[in-house]
Amino acid sequence: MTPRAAAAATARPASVLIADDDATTRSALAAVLKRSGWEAVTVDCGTRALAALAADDGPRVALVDWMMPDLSGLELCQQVRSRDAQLAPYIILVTVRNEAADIVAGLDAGADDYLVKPTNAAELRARVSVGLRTVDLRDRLVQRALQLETALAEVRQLRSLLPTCSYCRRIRDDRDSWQTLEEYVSHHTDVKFSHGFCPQCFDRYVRPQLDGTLDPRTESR
Amino acid sequence: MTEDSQLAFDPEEVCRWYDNDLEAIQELIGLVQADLPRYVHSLEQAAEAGDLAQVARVAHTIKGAVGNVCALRLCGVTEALELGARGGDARRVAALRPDFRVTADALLTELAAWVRTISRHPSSAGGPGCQP
Repeated sequence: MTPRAAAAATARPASVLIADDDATTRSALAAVLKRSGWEAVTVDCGTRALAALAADDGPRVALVDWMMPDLSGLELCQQVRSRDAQLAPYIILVTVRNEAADIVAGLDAGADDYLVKPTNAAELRARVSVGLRTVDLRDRLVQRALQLETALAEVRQLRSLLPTCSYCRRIRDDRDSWQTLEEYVSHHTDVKFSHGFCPQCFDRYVRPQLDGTLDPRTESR
Repeated sequence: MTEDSQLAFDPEEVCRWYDNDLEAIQELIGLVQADLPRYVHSLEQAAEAGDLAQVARVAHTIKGAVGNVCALRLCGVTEALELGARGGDARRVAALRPDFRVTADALLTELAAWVRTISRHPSSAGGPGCQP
């Protein structure tokens, strides 16, 4: 995400999907969400809910009715869970079904939480807050995991066998391009090079030059 | 609150549930007033046709819709209708229908009266717990 997109995302209120075939319930839930400063995206069936959640900038938290004519809340949960788990939205099933067996079935199908209708405004706000917090935390964990994977890949590359030219000691990288040792290491790590002389090289290369410079016989030639 | 003493609609409870947001509550009540007669007609038609699956579906929808305005008595009746229809008990459904009609009418009457009252005196919306 670019800094501008990140800033825009931060400035925009979090959006929450409401999927219910009953207009009264949609309005009741939307009124509470709007009052809390969130954007309410409403749909009247499971199929539209699935499409809204699959959109790139779709809501990350959803309030989903259990009983909808085309695709039930349970089926919606199952379909969402069968997709990319890392980007899965936080789903709260909202239903008048309040038996323990129903709650277990809902959670087993992939719902993250469960609310019984009619929904108390304070409880609804609290549950949605938990959902938004969870999604934010999950997003940051995914981002962190990606950064770690990238770093690990670079470490693995440094630890693996390096194809090196027998004469000039250049190293071939994964793009088939030959680099000096300094270039290669600088590219794959944060290491910065400073240049000096080891004792052997100093004696072999540097000292003769210094001796030659300081030798009056050499200077007179 | 006992079954007998239940109001068709409990304004104080509604105000508490929606943080005294009178504008939102009035919008919700407007939706219930618009939708409920249609739902009642649909349920009656299904019951007349002996379509118990449809009776169960519509009863479920009514239960969810009127639950939003804390209409507990109608919630109770529609839940009984839904269970009876789901269990294929046509006699139970037939026995509940008069009570269903009376309760739905009572709810619409009480909702209309409440809306009239708060239009004139907003501060009286739900008693001491509901201030605009």
